Amino acid sequence: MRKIVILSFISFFMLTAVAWTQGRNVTGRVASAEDGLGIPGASVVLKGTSVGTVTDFDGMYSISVPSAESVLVYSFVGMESQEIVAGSQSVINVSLQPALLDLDEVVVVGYGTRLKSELTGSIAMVRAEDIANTTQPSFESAIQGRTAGVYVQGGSGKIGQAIKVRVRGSASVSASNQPLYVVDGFPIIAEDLGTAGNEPINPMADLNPADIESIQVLKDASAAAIYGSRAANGVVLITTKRGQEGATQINFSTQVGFSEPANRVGFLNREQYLDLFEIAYENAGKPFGEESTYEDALDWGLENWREGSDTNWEDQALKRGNLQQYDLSASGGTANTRFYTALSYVDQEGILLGNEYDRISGRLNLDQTVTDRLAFGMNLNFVRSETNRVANDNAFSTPLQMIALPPLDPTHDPETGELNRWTVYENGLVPAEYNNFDQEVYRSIGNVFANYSILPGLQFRSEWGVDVYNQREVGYQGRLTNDGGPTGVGSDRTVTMRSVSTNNYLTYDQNFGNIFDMNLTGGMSFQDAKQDVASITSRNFPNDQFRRLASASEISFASSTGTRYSYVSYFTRANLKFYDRYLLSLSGRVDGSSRFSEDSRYGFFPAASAAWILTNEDFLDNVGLISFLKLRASWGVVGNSEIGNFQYQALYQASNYAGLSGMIPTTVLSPDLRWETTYQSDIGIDFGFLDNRITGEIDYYVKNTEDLLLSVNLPGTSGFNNVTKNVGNLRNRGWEFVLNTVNLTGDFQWNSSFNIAFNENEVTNLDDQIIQDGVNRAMEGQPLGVFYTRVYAGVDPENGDALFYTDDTRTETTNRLSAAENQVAGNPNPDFIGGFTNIFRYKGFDLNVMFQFVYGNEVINSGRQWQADGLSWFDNQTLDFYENFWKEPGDNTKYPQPRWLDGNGYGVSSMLIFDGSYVRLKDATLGYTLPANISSTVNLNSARIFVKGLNLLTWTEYPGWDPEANFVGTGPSNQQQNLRQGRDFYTAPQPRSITFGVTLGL
Amino acid sequence: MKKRNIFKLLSIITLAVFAGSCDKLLDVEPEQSIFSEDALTHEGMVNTLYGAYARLGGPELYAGTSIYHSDLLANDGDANWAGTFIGYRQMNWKELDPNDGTITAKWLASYRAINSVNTVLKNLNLVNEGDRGWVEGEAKFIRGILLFELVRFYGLPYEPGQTNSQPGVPLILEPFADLPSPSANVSRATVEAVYTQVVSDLVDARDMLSPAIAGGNQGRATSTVASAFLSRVYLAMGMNAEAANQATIVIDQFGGEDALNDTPRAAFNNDNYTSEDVFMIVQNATSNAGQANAGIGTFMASLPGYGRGDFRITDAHIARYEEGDLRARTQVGVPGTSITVVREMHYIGVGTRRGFRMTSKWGKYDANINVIRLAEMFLTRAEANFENGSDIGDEPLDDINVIRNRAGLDELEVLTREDIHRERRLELAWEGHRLHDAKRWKETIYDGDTPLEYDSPRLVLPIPQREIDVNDNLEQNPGY
Repeated sequence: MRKIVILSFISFFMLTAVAWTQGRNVTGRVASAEDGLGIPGASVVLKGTSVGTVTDFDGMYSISVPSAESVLVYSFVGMESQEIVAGSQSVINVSLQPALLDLDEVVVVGYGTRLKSELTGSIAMVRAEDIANTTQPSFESAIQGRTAGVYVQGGSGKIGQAIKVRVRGSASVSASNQPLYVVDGFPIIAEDLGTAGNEPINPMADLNPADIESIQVLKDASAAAIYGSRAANGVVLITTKRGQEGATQINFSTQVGFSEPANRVGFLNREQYLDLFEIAYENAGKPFGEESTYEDALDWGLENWREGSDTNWEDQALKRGNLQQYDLSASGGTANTRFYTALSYVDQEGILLGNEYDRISGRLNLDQTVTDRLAFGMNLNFVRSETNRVANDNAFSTPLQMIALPPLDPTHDPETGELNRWTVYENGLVPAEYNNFDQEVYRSIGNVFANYSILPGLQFRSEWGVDVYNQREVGYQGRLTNDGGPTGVGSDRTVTMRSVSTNNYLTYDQNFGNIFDMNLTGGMSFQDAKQDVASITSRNFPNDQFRRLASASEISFASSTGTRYSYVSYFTRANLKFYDRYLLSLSGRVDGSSRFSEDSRYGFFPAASAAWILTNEDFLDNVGLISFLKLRASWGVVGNSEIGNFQYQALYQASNYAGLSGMIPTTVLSPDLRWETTYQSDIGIDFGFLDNRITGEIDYYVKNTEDLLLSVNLPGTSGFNNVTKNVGNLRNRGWEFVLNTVNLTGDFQWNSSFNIAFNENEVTNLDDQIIQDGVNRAMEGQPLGVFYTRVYAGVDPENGDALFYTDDTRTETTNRLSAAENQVAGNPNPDFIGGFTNIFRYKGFDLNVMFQFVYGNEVINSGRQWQADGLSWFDNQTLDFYENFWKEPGDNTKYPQPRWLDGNGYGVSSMLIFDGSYVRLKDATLGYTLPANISSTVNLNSARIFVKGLNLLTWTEYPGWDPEANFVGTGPSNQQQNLRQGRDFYTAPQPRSITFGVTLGL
Repeated sequence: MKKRNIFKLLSIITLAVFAGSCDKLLDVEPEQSIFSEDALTHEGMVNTLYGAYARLGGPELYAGTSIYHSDLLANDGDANWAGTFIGYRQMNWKELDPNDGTITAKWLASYRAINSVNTVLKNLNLVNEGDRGWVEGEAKFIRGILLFELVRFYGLPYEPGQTNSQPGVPLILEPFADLPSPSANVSRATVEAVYTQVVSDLVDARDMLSPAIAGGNQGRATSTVASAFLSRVYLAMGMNAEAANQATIVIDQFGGEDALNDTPRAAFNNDNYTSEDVFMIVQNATSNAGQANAGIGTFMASLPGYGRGDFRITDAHIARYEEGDLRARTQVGVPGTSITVVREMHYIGVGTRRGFRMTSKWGKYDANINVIRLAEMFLTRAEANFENGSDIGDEPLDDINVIRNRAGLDELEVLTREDIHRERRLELAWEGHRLHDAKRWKETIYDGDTPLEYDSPRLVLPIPQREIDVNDNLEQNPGY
């Protein structure tokens, strides 16, 4: 490492010390072809270099041009770019045509950029304006439904919770299926570093969405292979905003509003509960004797039920939360120095009692042109976020488990007036009152880079980045709570993770007129990530006012651990273009990972892709209907090594037996462990019709993952549970369609964008392994994570018994759950997903309406084995159960006869599995931009007011709070996160929020 | 122009050098683990032996399932199970699921510890000669008691005097070797073969160990502890003379009845060793089975901040005791916050689900867990002598009266088999004996109104489904 640092300094000084020659000046004006007005902020770049400038307020520019062959590229967002050979002209005026389609957008592709029209791979893109003013703390939620084939699923309505992102399906069983996140060229820390006692958190939430200029999701192997080793799950490239030459632009934006749960389920009130309880008691044959009544059972089980309480526990757990956010940014600069600075503050109260989040973040992105050959810059982002977390969904103390309490339980003890601690399960109001769990993160993500133009067309770029993540989790569980009693439990945990990375590469651009264009890239990158955790738990506090560990008298847990991984990579890529219509791209990458043994740590990941722009052929040149047509095909190999560290080694860990230290063997040698490999083929069409008023993309892909990094079950008799080996295959294949249309132009504008993606996932070979995680399974011939359980056969109309199929022929039934065979009973993977966005503009008004949908997935609502179990205990029941249970012979009902204590149908079966399809009005924003003459009277460049609704409506048959639920458990492994799909366990719904906002250009 | 070429060259060299030096950066070593080859030393093997003890104390074994698997599965009215956790509820209903978490965990934890001690036994040559005896003895002790624990839960009961060819559990006597390991695709040995191994291991342990660890940790094996387990094993096998002999060794080593605590209650919830403890799992603040969803007290206690009061002792159970039995008393109105202020064997719960009768035996999450108490030795000897028609050590009547005396009861003058059974059932209630005793006594257990014979498959744990799935040679128990 030291060597690297020294070398980097040396090379850096070399870079800056080099001389350069001054070229000749070209000036001119960039105007809009529509109205002839000058375009401020348009970029003028010497093709093949990073040398460039931006136009001033009047669209004027001046740039130094080294030779007559130099090509100048003029571009502006929303306009068609133009390339002009400098020749001998000293004044070049350009008028840009408005772009109806985004084909000439510059797309970030990893170690470089490319024009969209020249892409040979499949890349989904989200622009800053698509996610502008999002009120979701993390950008993944904001891109949900906007990128074809990218399945974004929020774990629950808790703020700061991890978000599942699957690009073209799940490609692995035991290794991570999350994509690689790259911010401004560097992979950043995206793994959950929260306490193992709670659900995973989302470190991506530290990134302020307002700082993001664009998000590119590299979907196919050819696009992603330049990130070879880590690209099997796709790559999400995030580019942050940069300054442009010109007067400083200051933008201020604020939103305030509120959120509430998107849905309520509805549980019994007192009267209904008593009614059902009596029925269930009688049906159970009066367990307390012939003379007894249901009131005896209530006396036995619910001590305060006679007080007359009628508590709506759902209302106690869920609440309205306020939210506010402020974004202030300034950007601009001179020809040589450009900057973007931003400060942002977000404060959100969740919809769950005790769940809050706030974040303050700042950013400085700086670009300095030193000479026409040398440029350097830096990006720096610092963040402080704090999340007040609530307990995991499977804890009695989590707010939503309060709904299990019968309405007869009062919230407060009638004797003392204090919170009632004598409820049938823990009264969640008690932990909400006395517990706290604050997670505070200080994070700095920064990098510096230098670009040096060695020869015309040949550039060297060196980038060095760090991501320093400091997290502190301070918790206290009060004396009156179940978890903290009787003397209080305090905990303090710190995680420090730092990732150091560098990218060093050469690019060479050469343009031989219209005949041949080439762009070559080659270089290396390195990442080293180190993580340290220290944690202490103590108990015995004098009282609840003391919450820090200094006040505790007994340490019950103390630990510190460290771990590390590193990657070394070498990559090369050639992008070739012939006659402006035949495109070819070849890439190769060699990756080494510390997670494999010395003999098998390197993997080679090649990719090739080609495209043919038919509309640049003569025969299609004048076909008016077709304005753009491109065929693409790609093939490539990508890898995955996202397993735990050191899994190939046979290891011993320390153990503690009441002060006697010992050792325990923990892992088995797996010396041949190597990269999991995904082979992906993709064919696609990009098209534009009617002057590109209709554009779109169609893709078909097949993604075969081989040598799965599988956590293979070992017989327990071996002394080990499993070993990671390369076993098995898995396949994803599917279609993606994107259609963008300009429906109306003129005063009233209407643009639409629709995407839909079908993915079929199948575990094709597991070498006869069955990988089971509770109700979810990985098994051959089935999609990953299928539900494997007993199948509910409905209610016996004669006697109200719950019936289950004895086996998978589904012919015979039994009323004994344990006599029924487990079988495939549902699939949590959706058949298709997508989104539909409509933007309307009229005068100053704009309306953005965005729908998002998921279809064909199933969700297991495990909480319903108590919420709709016919009162097998005292848990409150859903209204849906109350209205649909069996009453008398001949009834054909959804639910069996309720029988207190008996558990008629109680247990895990397909009775808990439901269709999780939904369509959601994800985002609806109505805005009004003040006319320039009005805003300028108050010295504003621009002013827009808007009202925004998030998750306003959801159409679904799902009977729980929200079909977008995924409880993956506490501290889950990668495999657990992959298998545990479609699980709802007292999981909070997504918030529905309404905010009012103002955006001002100062 | 020259400068430019130099720079170009340098850039390329820089790249190449990075390439060379980075490879070493892929050599990352773990910080919380050591390589297995580094464990192959004297110290490593002694530590591995200690590590096996750490497995015994988890909620998967003696601080959890060993107790509640037995007492829940055999429960037919002495307790109400009030929790809604499905696994325990099913156990109470005698509707077991091969996928059940605790049934799987017990199996896995047992074999992990067995693999640890097999590793030690295989590498005894690395252990210093002077220590080799006790290391081997303790290792065999752990293997012996775990195989016994496994065979009596996962196999049909041992039938004294018969061949016992019914499947027991896999006999693993070798450590894990590189895959495919001989310890992987094993089949079940017969119940007879497992018992034979258990006896052999425990006899070796008894003969290799000293009666006590001088100044050492009390939660470990000694010759006396091995004898105590042997008495259990022999009793289960109907080898009554041997059972009585081994119990006598223990009782004599402890100095007889004087070693019993003054009251029945005093034997429980202790942070320190008491004179009555033959073998216990030592727990403390940093090493315990856990307070939430794990340790035995979670289910059996209802105290402020501890326990969920799931396991409620019924009037039917209390009715089994005689008038004046100290063990029958229930304390109402617990004055403080912890089990230490509870003086009686039962109390009315004051925790979250208050108002129900709880046993006082398991009320402190970090107290030691009794596995064998001296009282059991008296009861075992009485039963063994009674069945054998002998008086090894003492008369059965005297041994039973020792226990009755301590419980505040009058001495019996005539002893029946029922007296012995009742005394054992009451003295050792909720300590994990019930299922095994009922099977040995060939009692019928009721699931509601349905009688289950002592050898009913529904009273045998299923082999965990994950094991069946991964090992073709493993036969499932009948009924699953």
